[in-house]
Amino acid sequence: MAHVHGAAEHYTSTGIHPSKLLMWLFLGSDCFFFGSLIATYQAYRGQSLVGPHPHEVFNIPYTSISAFVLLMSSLTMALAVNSIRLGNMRATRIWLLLTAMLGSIFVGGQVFEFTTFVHKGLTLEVNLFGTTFFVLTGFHGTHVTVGIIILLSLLMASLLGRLTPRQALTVEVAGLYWHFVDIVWVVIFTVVYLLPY
Amino acid sequence: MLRRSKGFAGLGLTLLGPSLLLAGCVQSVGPMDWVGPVAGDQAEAQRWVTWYLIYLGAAVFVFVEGWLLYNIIKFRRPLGPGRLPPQIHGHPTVEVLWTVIPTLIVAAIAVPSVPAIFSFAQPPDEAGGLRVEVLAHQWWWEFRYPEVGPGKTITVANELVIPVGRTVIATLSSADVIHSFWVPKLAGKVDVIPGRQKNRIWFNAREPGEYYGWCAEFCGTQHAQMRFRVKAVPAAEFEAWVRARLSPPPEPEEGLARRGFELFGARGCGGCHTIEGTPYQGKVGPNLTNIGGRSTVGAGVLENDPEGRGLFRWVKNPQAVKPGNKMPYLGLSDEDVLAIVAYLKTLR
Amino acid sequence: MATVGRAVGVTPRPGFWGYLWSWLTTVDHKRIGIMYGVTTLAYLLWGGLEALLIRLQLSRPENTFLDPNTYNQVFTMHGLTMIFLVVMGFNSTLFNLVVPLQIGARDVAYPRLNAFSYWMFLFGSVLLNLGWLWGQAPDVGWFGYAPLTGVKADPGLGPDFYVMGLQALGISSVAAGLNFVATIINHRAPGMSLFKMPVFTWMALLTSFLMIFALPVLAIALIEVMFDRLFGTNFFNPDAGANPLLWQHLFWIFGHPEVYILVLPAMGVISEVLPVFSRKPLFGYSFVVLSGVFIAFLSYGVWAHHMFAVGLGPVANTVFGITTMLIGIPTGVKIFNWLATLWRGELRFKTPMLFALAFIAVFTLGGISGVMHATVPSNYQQTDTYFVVAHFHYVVAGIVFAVFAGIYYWWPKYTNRLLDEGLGKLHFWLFFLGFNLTFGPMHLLGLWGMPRRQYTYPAGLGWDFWNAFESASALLMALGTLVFLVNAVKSLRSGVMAGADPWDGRTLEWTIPSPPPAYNFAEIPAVSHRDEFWARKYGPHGERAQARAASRPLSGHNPGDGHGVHIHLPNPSYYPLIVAFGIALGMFGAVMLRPVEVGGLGPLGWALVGFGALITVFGSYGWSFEPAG
Repeated sequence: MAHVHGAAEHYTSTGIHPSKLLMWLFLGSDCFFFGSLIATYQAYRGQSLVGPHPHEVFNIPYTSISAFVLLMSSLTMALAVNSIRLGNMRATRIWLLLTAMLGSIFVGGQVFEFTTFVHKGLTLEVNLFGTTFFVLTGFHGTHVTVGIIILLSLLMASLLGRLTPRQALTVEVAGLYWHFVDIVWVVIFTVVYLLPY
Repeated sequence: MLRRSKGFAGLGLTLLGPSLLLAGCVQSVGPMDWVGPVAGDQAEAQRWVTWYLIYLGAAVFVFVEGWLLYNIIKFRRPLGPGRLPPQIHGHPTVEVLWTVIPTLIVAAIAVPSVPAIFSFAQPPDEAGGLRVEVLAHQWWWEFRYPEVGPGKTITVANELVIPVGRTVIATLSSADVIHSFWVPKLAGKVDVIPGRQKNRIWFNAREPGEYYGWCAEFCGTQHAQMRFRVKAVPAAEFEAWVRARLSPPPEPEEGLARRGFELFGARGCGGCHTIEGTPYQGKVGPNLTNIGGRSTVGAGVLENDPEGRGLFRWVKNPQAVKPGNKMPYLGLSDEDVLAIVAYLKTLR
Repeated sequence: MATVGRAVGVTPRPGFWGYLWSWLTTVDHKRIGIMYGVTTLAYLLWGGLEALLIRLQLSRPENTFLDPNTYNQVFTMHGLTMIFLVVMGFNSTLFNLVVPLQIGARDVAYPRLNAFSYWMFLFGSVLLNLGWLWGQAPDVGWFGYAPLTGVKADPGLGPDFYVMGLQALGISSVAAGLNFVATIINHRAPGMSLFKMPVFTWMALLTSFLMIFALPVLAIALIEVMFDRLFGTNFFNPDAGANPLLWQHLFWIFGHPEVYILVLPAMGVISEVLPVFSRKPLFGYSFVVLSGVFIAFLSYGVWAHHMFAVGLGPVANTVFGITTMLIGIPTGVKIFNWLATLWRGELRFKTPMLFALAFIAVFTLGGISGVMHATVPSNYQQTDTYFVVAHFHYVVAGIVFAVFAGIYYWWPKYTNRLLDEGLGKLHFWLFFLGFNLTFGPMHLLGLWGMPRRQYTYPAGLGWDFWNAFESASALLMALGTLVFLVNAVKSLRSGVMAGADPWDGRTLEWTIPSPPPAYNFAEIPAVSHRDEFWARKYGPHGERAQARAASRPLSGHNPGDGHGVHIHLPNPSYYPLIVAFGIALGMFGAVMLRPVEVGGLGPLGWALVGFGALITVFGSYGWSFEPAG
């Protein structure tokens, strides 16, 4: 993702690069987005009139593994940022690819998990749990997917020679987004899966 | 210069005008007026708080607008070339003062209002209160008295009869969307929520009378005509009314009313409406068992006059009176309508 | 003004299409601001027309001018138009036209994102109003309480246009908020610390933060309504155990910061205009700024004061009553600071000043009725009556006074013409009189029990006279607005030339020529004072009370600045327009997913959604990989 400077000056009043500031602000905004979804989930926790209920469908060990996968992807993302800062484009590409793959494993794992839930009778329409659970995790999964697309785009740009160490900031900003998505999952995993029903 | 002064005097009057009108309204302007004389303890408490605020607000208004006008008038003259007014940047002490003083004023408002908030939530006579269930529909009111008869529930619509002086505790639920139960002369409003949350409101009427009620939360096409009446009657009259409700009205045996009774079934009215003691047990629309004795028709929309003109208009074409309401145009002939009205008038 | 030229035949002059193209692809904040301004003005007239329709219907009891269905659409759209399209539109107009100039910047931080915000705003406004074509404009009230917005209660397209229109507008606002926070934080001229910024820019900063952090909550609430309607979810389905109050909580957690999004820029305008036309600095700059900060934070803690009657319980009601009272205090502080600015000043009653003074007068009354509303026992009677209608018109429609103050004030900077003072005063008095005579009596109607959102009312309840009076008075406001339009046209055609500094201003925008050159400042100014321009003219404490003729535009004439310095301006781009169009098309497709019986396309709507998504993705890639230029 190439960035365009709005004005010729690179001077900024705070010393923070504009795209980093923009990403932090956007992530702050996204906090309220996910916060509202989580609040909705919590408001309806335990209120479903019919099942299936969480303890009837959740497989905590399975979801723990997929959470771990996503966490590891944050590690590989950090390594990608580190690599490009050091100027090692080959390592950058490897770490970007690994991050995208781990992210895809996470999303794939979620698709599989949700399919089993549906087979157990948990759908969007059946009760409050289905509604709030799928919409919350669905939006998170969408965020992850968008992140994967961004990572693959960066990878493609690098293969085309358009991503160089001079664009290290771009990868760092993408990293901020990826880490945010990971942190949100930690919160969702804790609040939805781990906290006792 | 003089023109400008006149202009500002005009400005001043336009601002002060509304505040003069507000003060000293002691006569009831209409049956929905809740700052004039009211009939319920809740409404009385709320009215007093409001008047306190009106006077306080008027004082603040006069002070602030007065200072504004003073500035406009006093500092309008140009100083002449080469002169600037004093370039005052601020004055921390003054600014702290005008932060602290409003805080104190606001505390003087909030603190006395708290008891009224809590008293609104808790009926004074929980044990001895008359329990009523309110079920709000688009766009009419169903009222039930679950405890007055021996194991029987009385169901009426659009007119709530209560004994004077006694606390009424109403549980509110909705069959569809959010409505709001509001009888301004008796109490503030409480919203009626569909689903598990069943709000409660308590109120009383200190004097006999017919009090206007209104739905006070936008609920669709005919929100504006979703009204009701609360009739407060002396205790003995209330007992008599309850007894009348517990025995179903007699079936008319002959004449126009008899024909109306039969038409009520033949034209399908019984599919939607209930009349106790008859085969008509429809649950879609309002219970009509005592429609003849109610003050209004169509949920507070038309007057139920003794000649039956209100009922006639409604039954003939409810869509013309309340477009979009759930009772369809039935295409009845005038003769049929007259018969039905004659029957309904016997239902007291 | 840079235009894109295309050779047409033998003549090299840019033709109409070239000119149009230059506007469609502009990323210049000044042009974007003008587009916002024109769109906003059009919606002011549209929303005003809706208001006149309402007043016409209510001029008599049991009137039949509008049937209930139409009336419910008109009052809903009037509210949505005025809040989201007019006031927010005007705020975006001013942010674009004024903020970069006030901070000494050449443009905003992200010019293409800025253009995108505008196009999303335009398309969102169209989406919101598109329902009229089906005869199914949103009819659920501007805050659309569930389950009235559910498929069972409202199977038509109205709520779908409501959801999608607001969603699109929300995207526009978040993008703008992000952009302006980044701009104000990062693109200030050297030496302009935060506490040397003009107050209007401060308010723009706070408003932008509020937009970023409030709109997402609305987005979720709207998504939940949409999912209930399209996919059968249960967010607001009481039969599944849901509580419709969830909508109200989410909406008002957005909704209360939203009203500060509406009003803070207006307060910023007043804080600019009063000092200039009193020839004195704003009294208590720090307190005014800090009260704005306090208001912004506290605005997240008062939302349930819109819900006192829903049954939250006395404890919750008491708490929110107290926090609501608290938020009234910094507002009062601002008013006192404004009054103290006027105190001992040399007041010049030009049209911007008249509107600014009227704003103070009108907002004070709105604030007082607001405190009455915050008092819970009174609220139980007042809420959902014309008393609250009076309150919010005094504060929100009161913002229109600040809007006009801003228009008259900054008009010369962008047109190099003055608006006529005589017509301006006529506009002012008609509007001020009409405003008070229309909304003043609504306080009475509310106290006398007239509920709100009534398409008609019975005669004989004591409401008849004042309703007729209000309807007649509304025409005065309409007349005043017409006078303004005449004034605008006249000024553009033959108005007096304004020059760079027609008002003897205090802030940096008055140092550059009118209209501003494409690059704004030939050389970015170095700032060492608050009210930097005034300090340069008169000294930081007004020591040099010299004639104004001595001051002249400073930009472009600074010594030591070599001529021929290349100022790089961002290139135009069509991707913002494309991406905005793609998103809007996809959202329209989502509306069209509704069944054919109600006017939708059913599953065919997915084709539109998909097509819109494709355009969005294509446009996003184009945008990302577009050369920096």
